Amino acid sequence: MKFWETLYAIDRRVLYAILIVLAAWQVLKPITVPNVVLPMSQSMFDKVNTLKEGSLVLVESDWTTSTGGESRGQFKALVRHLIRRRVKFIITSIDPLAPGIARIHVEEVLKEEPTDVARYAHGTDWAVAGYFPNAENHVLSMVTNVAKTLGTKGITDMPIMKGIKDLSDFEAVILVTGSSSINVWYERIRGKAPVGLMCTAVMAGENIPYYASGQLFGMVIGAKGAFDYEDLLNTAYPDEKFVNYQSGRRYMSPLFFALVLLIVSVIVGNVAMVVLRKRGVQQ
Amino acid sequence: MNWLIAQAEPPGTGFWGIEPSSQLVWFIVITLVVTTLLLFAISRVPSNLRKPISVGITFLAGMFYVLEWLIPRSRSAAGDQAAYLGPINFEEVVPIVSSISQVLTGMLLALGVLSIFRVHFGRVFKMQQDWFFSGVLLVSLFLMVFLGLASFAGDEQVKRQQAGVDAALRGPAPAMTPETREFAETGIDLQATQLFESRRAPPLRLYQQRKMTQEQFGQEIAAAEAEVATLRTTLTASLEGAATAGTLTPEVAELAKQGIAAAKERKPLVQGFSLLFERGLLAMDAAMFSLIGFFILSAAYRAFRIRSIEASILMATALVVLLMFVPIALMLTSGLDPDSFQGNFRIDSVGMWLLSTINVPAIRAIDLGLGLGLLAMALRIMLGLEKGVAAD
Repeated sequence: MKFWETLYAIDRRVLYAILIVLAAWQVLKPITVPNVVLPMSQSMFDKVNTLKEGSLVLVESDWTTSTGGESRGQFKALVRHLIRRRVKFIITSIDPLAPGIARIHVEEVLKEEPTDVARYAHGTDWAVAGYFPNAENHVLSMVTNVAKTLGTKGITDMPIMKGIKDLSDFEAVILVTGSSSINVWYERIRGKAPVGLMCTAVMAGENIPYYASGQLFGMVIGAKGAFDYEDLLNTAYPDEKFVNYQSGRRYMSPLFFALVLLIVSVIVGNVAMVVLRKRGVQQ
Repeated sequence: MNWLIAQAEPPGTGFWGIEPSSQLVWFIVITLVVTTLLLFAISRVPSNLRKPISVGITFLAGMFYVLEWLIPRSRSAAGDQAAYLGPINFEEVVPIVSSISQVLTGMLLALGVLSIFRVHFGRVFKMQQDWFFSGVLLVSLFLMVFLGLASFAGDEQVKRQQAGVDAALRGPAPAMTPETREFAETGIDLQATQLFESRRAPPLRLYQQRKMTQEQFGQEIAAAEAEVATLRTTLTASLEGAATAGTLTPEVAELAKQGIAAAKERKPLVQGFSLLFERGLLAMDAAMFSLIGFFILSAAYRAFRIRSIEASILMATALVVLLMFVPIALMLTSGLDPDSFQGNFRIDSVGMWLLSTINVPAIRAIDLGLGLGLLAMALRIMLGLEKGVAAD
């Protein structure tokens, strides 16, 4: 009886300790896990893969290190893909920390890419427009008059903005976010550009309706989505000179073990509850 | 509405079309003075007039966005979109109102910082309980502001210096200065380092994956070093040639511009900012969020108990959707052909069905209810019916 009572109410510190051990083990010595790519990740990849060389994409990067476990892998994989397709991109953000983080990661990718691919100059091929407080106004302003809005950050004078007068001149708007900033884009975009979303796993449920309705051309969800995108990159660019796998695959095995622990602990708790109930123990 | 649609031609540049960039400083100063006077005037208004004023402003602000949404759009002769209400083109006004709104958000941020400063400075000054932590907060706050501004000033200096190099290059007799030479040498160092890092990365990756022997790796590194030496020799020869002739060449100018940017990164204040932001703030941000993993585990263990049929359904669906995001779990059923009947029982198929067939209508219903609630709330706020919003 004592055994089942212990399993029914495991001390949370024991669960924490097991989680620390499992996560630390897999962070230090990760196993390579196989993958099955989800259809929404495939849609996102396919769309980016059809963008023409020299076209322009708006990347709204609203993630910080708090959701970096999921968003970092997504963002870096996306930037890698854009660079390899020679697609230009401008980064905006509604989080004050995010532009600095985005810049760091784009520069990291540029260092990791082969030298013949990574000739990407800030201002000509990519640009960070910076922080725009107030999401509602930022999006409305971008949709209404993109040149003037980006002009407040000095982007308009850069070569990357040559010929860009309206948001419809962007081939796509892709959000990498851990917040609800996507809702404002749904409300305000007016169909001026196709929208894609890279979000955290907890945001999947509330955004699936927009993917189902076709308002999102693709969705990359959580660390699994990052792994999917890296897998797709690896299929498209198999050459050894390319860095395709990074945090997306690397974080998969710690995540897998953490989720297994969660599922096992839920099952154990329920089995213990059923056993104790059958034996008439007051819970 | 047709008369609105018909107004496709812009009626000329009005107040909203003025670009403030040429007199930006004056623009900021005048804005600050006017705002201060306005705030002072509002504080002096009799209390019985405060509510009508704040409700009036709220109503106008709300109506602006309602009109912006409702006014039909047309194309001007130049092909630009236009949405005219009399002489006002909302397409031009929106970015300006947006900028005003962003300034207001900035002021709110400043108010927040001021409030934090008042609370914690008071605590430190009076040596109240936990005053030490308040002290740490204040020191961190000011250090980040100071180093952030220093980094920003460094960026501006880089822009000025790079513009100076460009201007010198465009001049009638582009002369090579000792300062330009120094920056160009830094630029050569930077290019050499970047080339070495990019050449070393692929073999290092293969070596770490045990796909390359130590000897092969050593050969790759030696080849990379030789390539870097060649690059350094070529660039140095180019620089020496320009220095001897005393003429600034486009190649040397490009090196100098890279050197200017690299020199900025080496400044102690900029490195201090990098240390605080990248190594401090971002790491702590990640650490704070990662704690949620522990709470989720503990909460799921305690809360997911099958005490009713509803709880059982909830747990079963949650487990399937969880498994959908676990690659190894997906592999269990990946052998089933997705186009066959059995394919419906793949974990990803069941998960997608749950998300798109069960979840979607539920979320749509919630969103619809939420939207109607928001509409009612917005009307109440705009009309001043909501208590606690206007100055009661």
